[in-house]
Amino acid sequence: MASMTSRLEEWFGSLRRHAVLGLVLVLTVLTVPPATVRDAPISLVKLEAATDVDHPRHMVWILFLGSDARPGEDLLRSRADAIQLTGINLRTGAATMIGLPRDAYVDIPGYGSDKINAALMLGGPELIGRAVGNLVGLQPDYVFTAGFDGFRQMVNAVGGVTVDSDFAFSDPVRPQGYAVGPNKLNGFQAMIFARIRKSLPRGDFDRSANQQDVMRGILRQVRAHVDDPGFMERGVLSVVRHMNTNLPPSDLYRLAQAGAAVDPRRLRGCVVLGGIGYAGAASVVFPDVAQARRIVADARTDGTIDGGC
Amino acid sequence: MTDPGRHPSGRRVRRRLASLACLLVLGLLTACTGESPTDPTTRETTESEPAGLPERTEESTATLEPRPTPARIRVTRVSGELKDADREVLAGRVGAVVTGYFQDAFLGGDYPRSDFGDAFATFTGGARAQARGDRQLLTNIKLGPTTEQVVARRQTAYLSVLAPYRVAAGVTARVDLRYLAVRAEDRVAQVRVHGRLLLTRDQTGGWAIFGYDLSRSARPAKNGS
Repeated sequence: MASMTSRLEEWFGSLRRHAVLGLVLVLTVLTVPPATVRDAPISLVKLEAATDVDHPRHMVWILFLGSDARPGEDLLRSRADAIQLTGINLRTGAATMIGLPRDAYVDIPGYGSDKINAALMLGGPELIGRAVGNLVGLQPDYVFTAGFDGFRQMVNAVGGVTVDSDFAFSDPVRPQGYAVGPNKLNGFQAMIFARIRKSLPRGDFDRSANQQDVMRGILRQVRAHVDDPGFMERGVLSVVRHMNTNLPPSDLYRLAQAGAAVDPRRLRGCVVLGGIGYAGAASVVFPDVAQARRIVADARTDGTIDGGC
Repeated sequence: MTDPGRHPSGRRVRRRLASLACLLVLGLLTACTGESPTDPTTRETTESEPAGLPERTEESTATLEPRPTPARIRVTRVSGELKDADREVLAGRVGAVVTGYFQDAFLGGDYPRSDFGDAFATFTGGARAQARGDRQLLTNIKLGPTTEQVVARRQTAYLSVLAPYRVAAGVTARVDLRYLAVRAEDRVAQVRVHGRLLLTRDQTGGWAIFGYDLSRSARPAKNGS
């Protein structure tokens, strides 16, 4: 009997609670005003966005090197096939690439005059960084060096690149050839595009411009996929595995995230020109030092070149 | 919460009841029609990012006192290598930073709230300075002064981790924060803040937010009348 009384009390208690809840619901539905746009200081659906990546530096100068090391050779004790000094404004997203011809005949500290690409073989990234810095009047903050295979894998890691070629030429790695205008390239094809020079009217100078086009294509890919889960982490991992740098991964990650903020449309490219001649028996380029220094001075503080190349 | 001297107590109680009722109906409507596991914003997640939306069920909304939804933090991708135990530790530490930001900037504090000066305590110095300029979007400052209560509806962070040498070096947290801002005169705003938070270790070895790419949307809640 006591048990039945207890159950009844429990049942009535439950009924009371549900009745109160139901009453609140009904009252609510009756009294809550319709969801129309009111004088609330918010719009019906307003989407706003904010983006920023903090990096200790405002301007970063990176020397990107493509080493011509063959399999089994030391990446950092070979000649530099591609030499691109890039200034990035991490605040505004503006950037300038300055391509140097690999045969540029310059002073290599401690070794006298030689082709600039020999500096990597003679003294590694640090020495070629100093040689480039002395040439252009600004020392790079970082030097990144990639070999053929690393470059190919990094391009593949971002899903290939689209380059905008100024010239048409053929190569066995791409049966349809390279056409004037956009070309979607895989890692191997991009590597050939960045290396070939004999098919180009200005040889090494046009090749340097092609290298910049590949870098622009990589940046476009990064920007297109930066929101994809895990994309940046995979990309930085690929850089860690395939490029030589003395940056710890955490710094590299931060730099990569900041660099991904660069707007490809604001990524300008200039190639340092020069006269072709001979130093002894070697064919060399005597670089236009004044041009190189003028471009770098122009871009030094904000990453933009106002005076053109 | 609010200053008792600012409103007559009876009016205040009525407003609070109306607000709670509003939340109640909103919760039921949401459970029936809106933010379900088929929500397109969650469907796009990958196999390793849970697509479910466990924030509220009909049962859990059938209460007069709205309960905040606990945060859900998971490591979903690792580029490199990280042991399972380390993933859990990382989720805890990074989760504390992310939810700390959610609390400081949106969910915590005494509402009505106008002071959001401490909203970016888990940011690096440079990011904190930039974020202050974006505080209209990165905090609840727009609604704070007229909000009486904030109730979390969803707090998720799915972590993509860079760990090249078996130690986490960087993390992208894909975050989704949804909350209800209960305001004066029965108004309830649904607010969503989602996007990416970028984290790396600071000089002490702890985690800090060094970058953000966040979107914020706000709209009046449908109350079904």
